[in-house]
Amino acid sequence: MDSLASIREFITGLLEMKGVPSDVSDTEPLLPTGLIDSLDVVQTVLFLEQNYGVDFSVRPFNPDDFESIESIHRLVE
Amino acid sequence: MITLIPPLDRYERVVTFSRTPAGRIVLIAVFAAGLVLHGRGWWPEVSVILLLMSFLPHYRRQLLLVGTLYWWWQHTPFNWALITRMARNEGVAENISQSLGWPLFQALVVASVVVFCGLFYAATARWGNTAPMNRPLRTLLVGYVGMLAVATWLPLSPTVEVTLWAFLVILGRYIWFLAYSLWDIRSKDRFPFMLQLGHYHPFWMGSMSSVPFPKGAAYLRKIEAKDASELAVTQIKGLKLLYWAVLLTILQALAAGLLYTGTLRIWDWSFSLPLFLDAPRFAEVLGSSVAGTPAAWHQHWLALIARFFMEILNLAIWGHVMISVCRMAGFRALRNTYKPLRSATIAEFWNRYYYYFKELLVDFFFYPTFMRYFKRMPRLRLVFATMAAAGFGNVLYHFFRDFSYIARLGLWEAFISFKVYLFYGALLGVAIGLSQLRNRTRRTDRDSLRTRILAPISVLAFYCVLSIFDDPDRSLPAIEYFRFLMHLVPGL
Repeated sequence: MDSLASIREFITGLLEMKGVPSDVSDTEPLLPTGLIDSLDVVQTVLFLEQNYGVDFSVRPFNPDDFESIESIHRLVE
Repeated sequence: MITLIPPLDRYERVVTFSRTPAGRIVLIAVFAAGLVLHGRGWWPEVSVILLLMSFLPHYRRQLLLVGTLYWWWQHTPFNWALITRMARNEGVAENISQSLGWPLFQALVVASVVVFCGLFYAATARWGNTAPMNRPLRTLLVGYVGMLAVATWLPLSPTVEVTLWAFLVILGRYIWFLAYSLWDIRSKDRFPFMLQLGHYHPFWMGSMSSVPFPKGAAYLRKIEAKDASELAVTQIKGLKLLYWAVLLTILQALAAGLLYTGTLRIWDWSFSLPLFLDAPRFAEVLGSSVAGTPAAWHQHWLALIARFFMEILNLAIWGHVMISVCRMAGFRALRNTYKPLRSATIAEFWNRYYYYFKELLVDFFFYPTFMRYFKRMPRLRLVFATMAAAGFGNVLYHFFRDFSYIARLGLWEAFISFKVYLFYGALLGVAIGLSQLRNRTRRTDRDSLRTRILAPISVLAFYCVLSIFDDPDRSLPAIEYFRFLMHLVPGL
């Protein structure tokens, strides 16, 4: 599975777990619309650290990076 | 299920009409009527600003700046009463009045705060990669505490001392607004400082809150209506939210009548209710407990529960009005309070009850801590970051917000007077942290009896009891609040 598909599956799983509609497009805003919250960002950070070795302590944390599936994917590219 | 306010934003014809010039005028007229029903005397000014923003969406940010500056001038969000009192106590009130005059003194203090914020913003943009500006919020907070220490302990002349305190009072009001501006520096499409200023206590924030609603310029850019259709839907949602706030205000009046007074007072009308609970006020019951003549245990419960629910209602109405004006201005902001009574976990209530305050703590305390510390210990990492936000950040915010204590008691004594709130913050931080750990991997079944009924009752009971320690009166020792807690148990 490529990284974009893997991130999409992860985010869909998060949304399903919260009981909110999970059929989001890759560019749909997640944070500004409240689909995901800060705890979901934490889960996503853990997912990216564990699976793609993204180190957030060496790059300034920017919530914009978690705006959509596409922007999250840019972190691992 | 009964729908009190129809989903107008989903009605094609309503949205189409709202896009037209006549539709925009009608929307704002109906909105203004809602503000009148809500008893907001500033409805004419807001309506004019909103009309301009509706018809000139390309100049939305410039109009926001103009509206905000107008609001500063006409409805000052600053605590000048505190500064005047300090000047009188120091014996320099007459001096200031005769030399500069109070209006000019106030204008100069506000201007100096604006210049300070502008310089700090520019310094962060210029030297953001080198210490100390690479951690600008930390530098700002440490510098602010340093200036408080100078004002408290250095032997300054009375005029200098009062001027410094005035500067600190106004700057204290803007710390978190400036913090969101500093955040925007990282954005590629950031605004210059002059436009950032429009987001500093924007005109839709009628009260003196220090929590930026809704966040700062970067967030507003993301939620701004991009075209006429989005603007129409956003404004209709703003209208709905305002009228929901009107309904909640009626509910609040009814609740106050049923709980406390036996009279329903709404607008200029007054009705006697056939029955009411005659609940005592929290302060009364606490006062009796302090005096050694505690009321019965059920009176303690009644006072506590009544205050808790009235505060939820107050906060919801207050936030809904602000967000409704913000939406009318063309920003798709989320509600500040969203169905808190449905919260199935302690962490969820924290998210639903006071969203923008929680966001402030998450943005400036949780994320930076989580990204830096205990990376190899995931559970400790989560709890520690939560403590940094809900505990440390929460207490720090309130410490700066309740500036009158610092001005009256000095830095150290004011800190000591916060011990009960420190306990509250620590307990809240631990509880939210544990709640997050517990629910990290749990799949939510929104329809189960546990999620719909039992869990919300437990969560509300927790916050209700915890609210004993969230008393704005900081003069009592912690033991009095524990005594109140004990009095909730029959026989103790």
